[in-house]
Amino acid sequence: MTPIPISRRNFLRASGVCLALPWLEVFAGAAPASNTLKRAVFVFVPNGVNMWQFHPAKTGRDYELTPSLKPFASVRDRLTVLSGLQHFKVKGGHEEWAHMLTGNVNSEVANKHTAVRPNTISIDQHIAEATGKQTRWPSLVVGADGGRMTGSFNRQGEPVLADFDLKNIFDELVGADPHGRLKHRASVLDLVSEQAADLRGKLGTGDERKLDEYLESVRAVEKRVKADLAFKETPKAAADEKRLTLNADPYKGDQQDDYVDTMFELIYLALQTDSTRVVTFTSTRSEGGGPLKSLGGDWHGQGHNTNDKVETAEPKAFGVLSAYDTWWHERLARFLERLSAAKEGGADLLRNTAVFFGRGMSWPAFHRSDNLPLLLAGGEGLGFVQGRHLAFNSQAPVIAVEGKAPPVNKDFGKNPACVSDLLRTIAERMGVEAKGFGESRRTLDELLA
Amino acid sequence: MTRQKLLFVALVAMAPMSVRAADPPGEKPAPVPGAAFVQRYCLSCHSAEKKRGDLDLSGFRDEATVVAGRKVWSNAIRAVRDGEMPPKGAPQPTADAREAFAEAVRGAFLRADAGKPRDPGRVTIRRLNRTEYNNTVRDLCHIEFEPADNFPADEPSHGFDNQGDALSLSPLLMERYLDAAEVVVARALAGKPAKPAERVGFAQFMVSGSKVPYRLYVFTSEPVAATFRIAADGEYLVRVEGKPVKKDDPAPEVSVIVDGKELKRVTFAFPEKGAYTRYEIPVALKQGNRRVSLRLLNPPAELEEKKAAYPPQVDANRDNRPGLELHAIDLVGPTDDEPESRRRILACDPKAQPREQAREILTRFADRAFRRPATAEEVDRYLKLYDRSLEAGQNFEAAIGTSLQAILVSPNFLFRVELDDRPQEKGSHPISEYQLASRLSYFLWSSMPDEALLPLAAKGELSKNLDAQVTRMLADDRSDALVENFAPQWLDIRDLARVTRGPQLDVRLRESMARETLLFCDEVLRKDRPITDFLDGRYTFLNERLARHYGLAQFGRDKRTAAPVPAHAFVRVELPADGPRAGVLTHASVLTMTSNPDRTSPVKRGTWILENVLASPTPPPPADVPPLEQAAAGTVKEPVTVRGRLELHRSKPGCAACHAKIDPLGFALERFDVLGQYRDKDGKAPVDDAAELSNGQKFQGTDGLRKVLLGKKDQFTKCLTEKMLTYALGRGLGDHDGPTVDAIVAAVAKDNYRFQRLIFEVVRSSPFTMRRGTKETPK
Repeated sequence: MTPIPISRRNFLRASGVCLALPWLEVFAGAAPASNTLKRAVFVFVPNGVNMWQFHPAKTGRDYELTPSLKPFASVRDRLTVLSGLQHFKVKGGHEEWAHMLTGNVNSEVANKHTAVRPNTISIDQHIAEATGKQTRWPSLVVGADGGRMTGSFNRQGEPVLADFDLKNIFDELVGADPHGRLKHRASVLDLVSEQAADLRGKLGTGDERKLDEYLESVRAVEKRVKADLAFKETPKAAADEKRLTLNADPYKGDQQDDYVDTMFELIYLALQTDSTRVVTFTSTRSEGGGPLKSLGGDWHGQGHNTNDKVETAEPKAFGVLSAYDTWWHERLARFLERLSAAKEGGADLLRNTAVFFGRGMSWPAFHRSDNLPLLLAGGEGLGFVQGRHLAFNSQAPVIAVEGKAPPVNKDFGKNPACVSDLLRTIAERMGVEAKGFGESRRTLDELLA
Repeated sequence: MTRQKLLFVALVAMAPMSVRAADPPGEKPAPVPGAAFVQRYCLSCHSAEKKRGDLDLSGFRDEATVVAGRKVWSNAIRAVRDGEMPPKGAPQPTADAREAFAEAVRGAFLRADAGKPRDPGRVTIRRLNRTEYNNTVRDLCHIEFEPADNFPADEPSHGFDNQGDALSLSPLLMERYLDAAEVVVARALAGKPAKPAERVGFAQFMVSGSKVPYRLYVFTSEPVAATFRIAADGEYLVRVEGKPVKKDDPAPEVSVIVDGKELKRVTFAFPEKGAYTRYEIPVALKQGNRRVSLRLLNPPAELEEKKAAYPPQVDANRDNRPGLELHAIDLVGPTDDEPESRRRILACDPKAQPREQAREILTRFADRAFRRPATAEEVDRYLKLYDRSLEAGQNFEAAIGTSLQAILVSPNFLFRVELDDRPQEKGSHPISEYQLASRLSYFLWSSMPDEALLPLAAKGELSKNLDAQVTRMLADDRSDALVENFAPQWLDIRDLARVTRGPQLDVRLRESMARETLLFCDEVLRKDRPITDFLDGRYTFLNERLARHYGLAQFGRDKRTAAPVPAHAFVRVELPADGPRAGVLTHASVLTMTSNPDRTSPVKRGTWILENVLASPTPPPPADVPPLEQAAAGTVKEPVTVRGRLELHRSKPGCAACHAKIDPLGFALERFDVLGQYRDKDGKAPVDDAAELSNGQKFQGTDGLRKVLLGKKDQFTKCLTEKMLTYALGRGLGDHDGPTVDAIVAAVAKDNYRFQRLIFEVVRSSPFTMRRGTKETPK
């Protein structure tokens, strides 16, 4: 979740933000209406899609729900389908997860299964730098692979390690102190304050001042630890345990539904309790083994097998892709429904939360990364207008050319747009300046009107 | 020559005598040094009535008062020597007269300092800054790990981030310390080796990963090799895999060589099953880069004869030539699964009772963490915490871990506490040997004293062996910290990572710029070059990107081997003697940092030189100064260049006093643009890099500037001395440090301005080795 396993409870204060007490209910009286919470969720799913069934033919409001997008029927008005976006210079390929949120053009692929180097900061961390102080966790970074397989990178370009352990995320969320560290910390603090008091008498005036700083800091931390210990004892409003399968193993075919559903539920809880404003879920890697890949068919390999042909020429390969697409879209739609059902002030949670759903490839056979299948949902409170299909860069509808996938669009028109522009727009709608982020040259004002 | 000269020579010659005569009480006090000079050239303005520049020299009646007002008079001799004073239009003394005056005043200082114990000043207890914390944890716990990277930034003061007064501690930082202590202890006691061997260099045929790509065919005795980096000493396995090309070929005999020494000879028979025959050969290795190579001992004679025609070949061997088909060269390990950190921290008498074992472990760790022997009372406290942890249900190791955490957040670890070991002594006296060890190691290494320093301190033999220790420590890799931490802060280029100058200044260029300066400073230190190299060294370090940036075409091939230099590698480049670049002043890093985003700033560059080269910082501009653009607007004919606008600005009387000093220095660098690239035009107008100092001395361009600065060698030496002393002591300098600085400057000058001399002198100086008596009242 955070780069070093810092105790996130440190951010949990005696003010008593506890689980299932949404932010606005606590502060509703005090907060001015304009001061609505702004949040962003970035979900990344690897590999390409069945491109014959993803992008609608028509743009604008009355686009038709393609077979891939059917699961979104109930939240159709809350989401925008995006055509024609890509990175400008960033290369495609197996490390798409490491470029997706950085738009980093300098990167070289180091090695299979390691992060791209040197990388640049990802948009979620850029936002978190500005908003992080307001919440317990600056950002929540999760993924089924976890660790360095993450879309989040800090200012130094180092990966922000992703947490994969549902139980651990949940424990941190409710402040359960799973390793019982608080008590030990309390006794360590006891000891050092004794020591400092002894030392103080032996020092000169200037030094005493320094030591007083030390003692005050120790006392401040002691107070917090005590508050945390007390918080641990207080009965908390229970999370909806039915929705949480905390021991789900994403490597087991029959548990991967539970794993992703639980992860989305934890993300929902983190947002609802205002534990963080920024969440990144880098689901899994594209190539090779790993979690979330047991939907009957080798996801990555079958992508290659589509050979950019029409669907009828490779029915099996495209069938596998469609199965994965539908599976993910069902889960995402449910997450969006959950957010839209939660009330926050006069609106719902989704209205204050921009949800980016990104895929790293479009046509998977040769790992093309033009016309990426992207979705943006919610965030109307941030200014996004939803319920449409928008095509950028003069992107034409997907129509077979000589029995194969259409060629890469090279004519971007007058005002080209890229993924970095989209990410930057999200950041700036959250009130975080992001000019010059990644490859960005402009904001996507088309999304706002 | 003139009468004037004679007069001053006489004054200088007489001065010491009069002082010696003045020593017995009741005698007439020695006169103000250079009194006639002051009378003739200074007092008409700097009098009690006029008090020009807020300076009244009339109040100084004798030598003693001059010595007491050391700062004022140091500044006066500098202004007189620089020709800044007397101002233009006033009667001017000759150059010799100026020197004689300076000598007279300095002579007074030296006499006053002679034989007197110097006040070593006082250092506030210093908290470890982020760099020091990281390095100390590395050396204390034997782990490679940088926990301080998410600590809040350290506030710099006097130009450096290691100053006791400025290093504060907040609750946030305290929490980070607690978190870091948990993580550090967990890592240090972890059971699995932290870092396996890692391949860093490849035989030219090996592309990536730990295996030979596909296959490598070796036909001759030409060796193939791979280099590995090893983080810790230990037992490793050399793993080689191969077979003869065809079943009926003679089995290749191979010599396995590690770092030039044969480890073993092996024979690759054709495998009964599987793709190759594997050998794993155990070997004990020290940390560092290790080279593993293979030499074929029985190459087919007909191929060996024409060795050059049959180089090792990757992947395909279509002719099925006989030879060795190599599948892998690998170094695996360490095989002993107890990592060094754990072994060293937990080492104890296996036969002792657990509590005694705990005492042994905790005592050793606390001794090193506190950089002095821990008292029995201190250790008892940690033992009690250990007892309590056991009672709370922790096992032996976890309980030890909790106490180790407590040590890592103790004020005795986080601060460099220098308690007076002779509080009864009234006057200044040497700091304790352990404190000296810490001062040394944090100065040169930004880390704790090592296994050589602490025993010396324990025996009380460190101060006797200071020079030898400094020599040893400078030769140690850890002294990179001195270059990495001192140089960028002295040269003010630490913020390079944060400046924006449009798309041209991307991450790589930025890093290359910073690296050039670091490598240059490193060279001056390692080769013990004169510090004047910083001003006029005609060499630098460039990679391909920076060479292009500088428009230097000769970059690209290694001089000796004529092999192409890889684009990212830095190489030493000799700069043309008639070129514009030499020394750090023309480094892109410095030139970029001293520019505005959209234009060069002769003011910033001039100020930079005054502060970082000449030790004569100017006061900040008054609050109501309009920006340059505005100051120039509304004039009849608006000048086009930055320089033109500045000249106009400078013509205003309120600005002239300082800017007459600042701007000329900056003008000379006008041939370098905002990113330090050479240019002939500023906008559309040709660059004018002619300049004139306030004393009327004319010079042009970087060459001229270099000559001016080299003419002020001692001034530069003083500047660098003050900076280094500030860094070494962790406190700003005061008047009482004047004698120390003067003495170091003299010693460095005498030793041909060699850089290491400066370091040795700083270490020997009284502020570095002494302390004020505890009872002494601070001045």
